[in-house]
Amino acid sequence: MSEDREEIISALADGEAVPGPEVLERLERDTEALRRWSHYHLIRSVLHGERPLPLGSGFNDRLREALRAEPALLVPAVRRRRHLARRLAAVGRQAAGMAVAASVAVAAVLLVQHNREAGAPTVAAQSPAPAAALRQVASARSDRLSQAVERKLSGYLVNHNQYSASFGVQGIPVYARIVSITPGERVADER
Amino acid sequence: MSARLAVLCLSLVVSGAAAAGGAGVERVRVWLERMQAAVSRYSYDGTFVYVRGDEVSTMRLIHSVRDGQMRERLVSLDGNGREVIRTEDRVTCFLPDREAVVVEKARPRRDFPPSFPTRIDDLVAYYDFLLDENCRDRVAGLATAKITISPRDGYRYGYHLWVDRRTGLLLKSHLLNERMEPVEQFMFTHLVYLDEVPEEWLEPSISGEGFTWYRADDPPGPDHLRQTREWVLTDVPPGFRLTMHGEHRPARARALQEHLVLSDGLAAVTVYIEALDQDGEDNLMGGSRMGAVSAWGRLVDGHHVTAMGVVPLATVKRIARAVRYEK
Repeated sequence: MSEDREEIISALADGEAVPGPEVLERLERDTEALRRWSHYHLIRSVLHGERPLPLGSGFNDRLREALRAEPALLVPAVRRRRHLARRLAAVGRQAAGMAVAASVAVAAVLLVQHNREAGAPTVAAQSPAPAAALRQVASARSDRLSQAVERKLSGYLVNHNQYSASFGVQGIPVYARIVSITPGERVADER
Repeated sequence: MSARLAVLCLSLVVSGAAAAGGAGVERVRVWLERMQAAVSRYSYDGTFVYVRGDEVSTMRLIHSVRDGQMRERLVSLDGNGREVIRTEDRVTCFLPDREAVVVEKARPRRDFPPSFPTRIDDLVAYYDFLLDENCRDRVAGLATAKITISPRDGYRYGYHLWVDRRTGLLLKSHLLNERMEPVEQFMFTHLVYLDEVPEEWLEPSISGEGFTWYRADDPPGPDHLRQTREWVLTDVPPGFRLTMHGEHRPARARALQEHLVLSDGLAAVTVYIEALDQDGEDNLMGGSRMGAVSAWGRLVDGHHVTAMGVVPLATVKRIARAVRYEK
């Protein structure tokens, strides 16, 4: 599988090929191929501006460190956006090697620097994909919930999912919200 | 007719009451009904990518329909080992990273008929619909139709939905915030329809032995729409109506709680109300986000109130603040 894996997965992810059952069976058995296929989808969607960047856990901490070390860049915002576009294109070129994190981090640093200067908590409209990820980093009011509060909310969430599943769009795996671990954060005070 | 023109002709924009009785709404309704029916019609085994905030997860979903009974097993493939087993009467969440198992009683479907999409005529006051029956996007190698649901105000999220053109099953979705940016996404990367799911595929791989088990109590009475005299909601966001009021003790909660469910026909917000105890350290005060889920907590007349839903923070805030104790 390893020799033609890249080609097959790339073609599948680009919608150029319709997989036959034997290909799917091979993919199913090949965990690495499955992982790569998923990542190709993510990268393609990032490049199409459809989704937040695929950042791993610990990204926020790394980004904060990078921000502390990075001097403010005195280039116009439009040039930074072009730079971001070039960076994202580079991410696409690096897809086979999956060297995503470093490039994304650099692009994100540029975006946050821009917003820091502009005093805005959100990123430019031309680059919607990383906005959700970066708002979490840029929000000065964000704060982790205590374990006790988080435990209670997660119990509520299991209960609430029933209603969410009943009313909402049928077919969305709402319990993925339980399986995926995203810590809650405090974003506003009760006043 | 060129292919592009054909696609344009098949893209139906449904907007507001003007088109509510038109063919556009009917086509959207057909697709939404197909999407709803597919969940209780097809068995399948799929791998999907789930993205929220800056986290990406890969999960396997095994969905079984046999003799009208649905069962489901959701497994994390990323290493935390979490699993969720759903049957008709309960939901069991195995959380090995916390050495815990949370068991919640499922809402019987007969008591809680999904109102969506049957109330689409009501929804057009709050959402715009766009349908592309010849969408060129393929998901997991399958041809799709795409439905876009856009909120008309800042109190609800929107969706991009890609459904299997052959079966109507939802293959990919983007949950969109008020700026139409994705806040939560799921997408099958691999999907196989099955005639029958082997029994062992639906069994958890974890026994839960040695873990702490948290079990929700059964509701003491009928858990359906019941108007309360004590708790009232004033000034909720437009379109949200009280749909259910009951009593329940969710897993991990110490005491019996009242809960109210509000919905605009698509989004649901649950309000949990519990009497204050001595401790109170687990009470959320103010706003919180967990991915796409927003929550707002506050104190009302010796009770702690939490509003929670997959909606913007402004919605749970307004609903939490609308709760009043009628003496």
